[in-house]
Amino acid sequence: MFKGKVLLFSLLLVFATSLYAGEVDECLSTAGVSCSGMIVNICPAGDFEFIREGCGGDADYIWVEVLDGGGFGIENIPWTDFWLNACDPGQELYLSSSSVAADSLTNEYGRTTISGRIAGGGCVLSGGLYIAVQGKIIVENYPACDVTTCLDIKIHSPDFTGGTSPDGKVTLADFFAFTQTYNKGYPDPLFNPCLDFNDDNAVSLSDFAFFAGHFNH
Amino acid sequence: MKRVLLILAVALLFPGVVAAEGTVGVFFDGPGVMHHSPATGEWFYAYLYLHNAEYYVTAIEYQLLTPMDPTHALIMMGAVVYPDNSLLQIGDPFSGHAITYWPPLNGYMPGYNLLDTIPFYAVAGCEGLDDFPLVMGPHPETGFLRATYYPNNYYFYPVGLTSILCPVETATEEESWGAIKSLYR
Repeated sequence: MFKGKVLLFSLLLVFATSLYAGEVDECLSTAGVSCSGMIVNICPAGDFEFIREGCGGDADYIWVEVLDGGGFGIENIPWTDFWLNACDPGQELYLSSSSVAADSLTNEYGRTTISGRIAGGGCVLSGGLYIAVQGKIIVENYPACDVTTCLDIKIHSPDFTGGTSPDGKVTLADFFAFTQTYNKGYPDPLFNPCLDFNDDNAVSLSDFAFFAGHFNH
Repeated sequence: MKRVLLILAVALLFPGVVAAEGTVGVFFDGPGVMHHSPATGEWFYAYLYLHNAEYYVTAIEYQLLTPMDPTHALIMMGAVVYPDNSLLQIGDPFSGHAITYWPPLNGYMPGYNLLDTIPFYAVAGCEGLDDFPLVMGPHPETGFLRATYYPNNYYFYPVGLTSILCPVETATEEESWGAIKSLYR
C-alpha cells in the first residue's frame, strides 16, 4: 500500500517537472548587458553597428540565461528564437522576422549572448529594451513576475520617418527629418539624438556620412 | 641648439601633415589650372577637387567664399553637378555645402577627386572682375572645412585653396641673369 503511494507520488513529481521541462519560464529566466549606457545604431538592412560596439569597445554583449519552470537551463535554443523591442510601446522599433540572432545555441545552463547587428528601424531613447525568448518576454520581481526586464540600451537609426514611426526603409522622408536637425546639437530643441550616430551630442557631417551610407536601405 | 633642432623638426613635419590631409580647391579646365578669364557671355565650369587626401572620403563640408561686393553679380551660378556616387547633399556652395559620397571617393587613386562641378555664367567677361578670388573656406554653420572618411566617418581637415578669376597679369621680359646683375652695378 505504502509502496503504491510512493510510486504514485513519484510519478506525479516526474509529471509535474516534465510538464515545464524545456518550456521557457519568463520569470526565472534573466538577461542583462555587459556594460552600462549601451547605444546601438541600427538599419533595416542589418548592416549598421554591432551590439558588441555599443559601449565604445569591441567585446560587449547582451547575455541571456533561459531557464525552465524547474530552474534548469534550457539547452540548444536556436539563435533565431530571440526578440528585442522597446519597453516603452510609444518607441516601438520596426523589426523584421529575423532582426536579432544570438551568437550561439544556448548551452547546458541555458546561456547565450547576443552581440551581432539588429536589422530594423526606429529610435529608443529611454526605457530600454525588453528581450523575449520563444515568444515569452523576460520579467522579474518573483513571484509576482510583474516587472518587465528592460535592458539599458538606446537605439538610434536613420529610419525615422519624420519623428513619428519607422517603416523599415530609409527614405526621402527620413532625409527630410535629418535635414531638420542637421548641424544642431544638445541642448538645441531641434537636436534629434536619434540621428546622432557617432554619439557626440550633435548631428553633423559625420552623422550625415553615416546616414547617406544607409540611404535607401 | 636643441630648440632650433626642434623647430626644424616641426617645420619639416608640417608639410607632411598637410599632404596627408590634402587640399581642396576650385580648378578650371581640369586639375592644376586655378585661374580662368571668361569672355562675356561665356559659360564655364569650376571643378572642385580634393587632392592628395589619403582616405576613403565619405563626406565633405565647405563654403565657397567670394568678395561681398557688387562684383558678385557679374558671375551667375548654374545648377551644381555631382559625381555619380554622391547621393545626398545639403545646402549650396555659397551658403554652405555638405556632400556625401557612397561608395566613398578613393583618395589614394587617382589623387584628384572630383567633389562637384559648378557651372558659371560670366555676365560681362572680366570687366570688373579683376583678380576675383574663389576661396574654399569653412562651412558657416560649423566653422570647419572638413571631411569624413570610411569606415568610422572620423573627421580630417583638408586645406582650402584660393583660385582666381580674371587674374591681372604683369608683363615680363626674358632677360639673362648677367643683365639683371648689371642693373645693380
